Amino acid sequence: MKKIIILLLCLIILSNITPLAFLMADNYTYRNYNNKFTFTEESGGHDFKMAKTLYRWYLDKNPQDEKADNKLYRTFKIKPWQFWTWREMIFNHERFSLPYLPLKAGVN
Amino acid sequence: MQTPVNHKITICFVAFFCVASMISCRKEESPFIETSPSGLNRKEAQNWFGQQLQQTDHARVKTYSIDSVDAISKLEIDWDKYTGEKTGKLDYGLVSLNGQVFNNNYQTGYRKLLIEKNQNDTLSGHILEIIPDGLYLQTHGIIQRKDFSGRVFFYDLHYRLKKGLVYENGTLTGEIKPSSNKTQLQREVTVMKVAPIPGIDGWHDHNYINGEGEVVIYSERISSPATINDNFGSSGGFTSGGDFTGSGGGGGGAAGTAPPVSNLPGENNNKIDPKSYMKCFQSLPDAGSKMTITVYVQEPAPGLPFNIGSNSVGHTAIGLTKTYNGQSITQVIGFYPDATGKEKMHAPSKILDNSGLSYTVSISYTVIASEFSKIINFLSDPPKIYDLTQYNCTSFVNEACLKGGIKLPDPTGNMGLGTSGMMPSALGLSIRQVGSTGNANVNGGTVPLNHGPCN
Repeated sequence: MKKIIILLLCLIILSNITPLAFLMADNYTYRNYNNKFTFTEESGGHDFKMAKTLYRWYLDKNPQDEKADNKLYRTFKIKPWQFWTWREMIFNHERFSLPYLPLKAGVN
Repeated sequence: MQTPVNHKITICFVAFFCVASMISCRKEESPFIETSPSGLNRKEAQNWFGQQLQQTDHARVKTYSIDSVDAISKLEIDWDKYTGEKTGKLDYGLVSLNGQVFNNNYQTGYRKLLIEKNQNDTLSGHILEIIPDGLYLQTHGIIQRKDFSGRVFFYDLHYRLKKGLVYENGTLTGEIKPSSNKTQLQREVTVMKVAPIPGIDGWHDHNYINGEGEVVIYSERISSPATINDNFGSSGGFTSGGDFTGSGGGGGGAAGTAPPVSNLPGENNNKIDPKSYMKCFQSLPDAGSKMTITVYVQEPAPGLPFNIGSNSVGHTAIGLTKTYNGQSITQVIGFYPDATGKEKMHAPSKILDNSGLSYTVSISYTVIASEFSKIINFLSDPPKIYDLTQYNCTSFVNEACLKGGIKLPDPTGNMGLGTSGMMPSALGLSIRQVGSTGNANVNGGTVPLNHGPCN
């Protein structure tokens, strides 16, 4: 049984620290309250940092939206059973702590 | 020796792992309509359609008119794809039609032929144009009646708009009729810029280009599901069931299938046309301009040789700047797979705008106009295929630089499992070795906002 646990732990670790995680990762998506700003994370640089930068620039250009609701929302659901995302959940947890708003909610 | 508690923990752990794997690896639901053994049978539908064709021919001979009756004869039907359906008391059949609905060169919908058997056993048919809502298509990919959001237009066999239905998350929320002001058909390929025109009883005029390439003006109003009637024929509506919208989603272009998700206008805002980005540089003269190429690298684990780290697998982008008399144009772009999941290994490529990219190192080179031009030519028409190991974002930038006579610090490193190739981690480390004496920036930063496309 110990061997099985060790194997599973190895699989979890490998799926989190090798490019397997890159291949299995979801495209995390974000939006603002009225859906005029949307962002999809892509592999390679189109990451959460870029989302925050672009959203900052968007708010600078659209002060009325900053006034109305300047929160960035995640449109993806958190799936804790996806063990290959655990590293992201631990070390890049900020995206998971954003408030959730489905992609279509509140859009006219 | 294991204690009972340890044994239980082990079993729970294994069970959790298995369940997690099963849940996460489950297959998507079938994108195709479930065929029913009941419903209008194919032979009956085919005979009826043959009769309609004959009647159309007679009408043409009699009236010497071609345009008014020609729509039906232009339909190409693959009867092997026919499916019979039954909904309550209604028997009907559906088959995909050739021709798709386009808007600004983007496929926005698809067509089907609907043949229904009325309560008095007579048959009638309509051409359906099914146009899913852009956001719905982007988020669902697969089109199904049960959660469909979008519009279904009902045309008669002479391609005259008869009615339409508006759906929101599988529920009827509105109805469509030909515009009472004027039903205008124009053979044009541009969308008319008509703002919704408010009318009485909540009807608003809109327009779209149908599968025949004609601009159709229609009236639409939002109603509660209870108040919407299917006032066409006596057979009742399709509101309670039946999957007349059903089709493969994201499949990319076959008749009767949903538009490919990534091809919707505005739905993938990041994907860019590199030609239009490169065209901007023409607005500044070559003579007297300073031209710079900057390679930006986001290392997976800054300063370390790992291929994956806090920045995932990292990224390499290329930036071009042209400055003339204080006027400056900068475009920073990157090369990506146009796919998700394991398909990212080897997929069609796409170019993304890398404004706002947070990089860890960069290196700049001043080039002359002819070298700049060669790089622009390469970036305007990038390779069509992305391959994670053979031709990735770093390979792309390296090749672009070589076109302009720039030899980057060594971008090759160990990819693991005995293979080597170009990758951001290796290029990042090589740039760090060059240091600031070689026009390198090892402190990182954020890529500025791009100029954007030029038409």
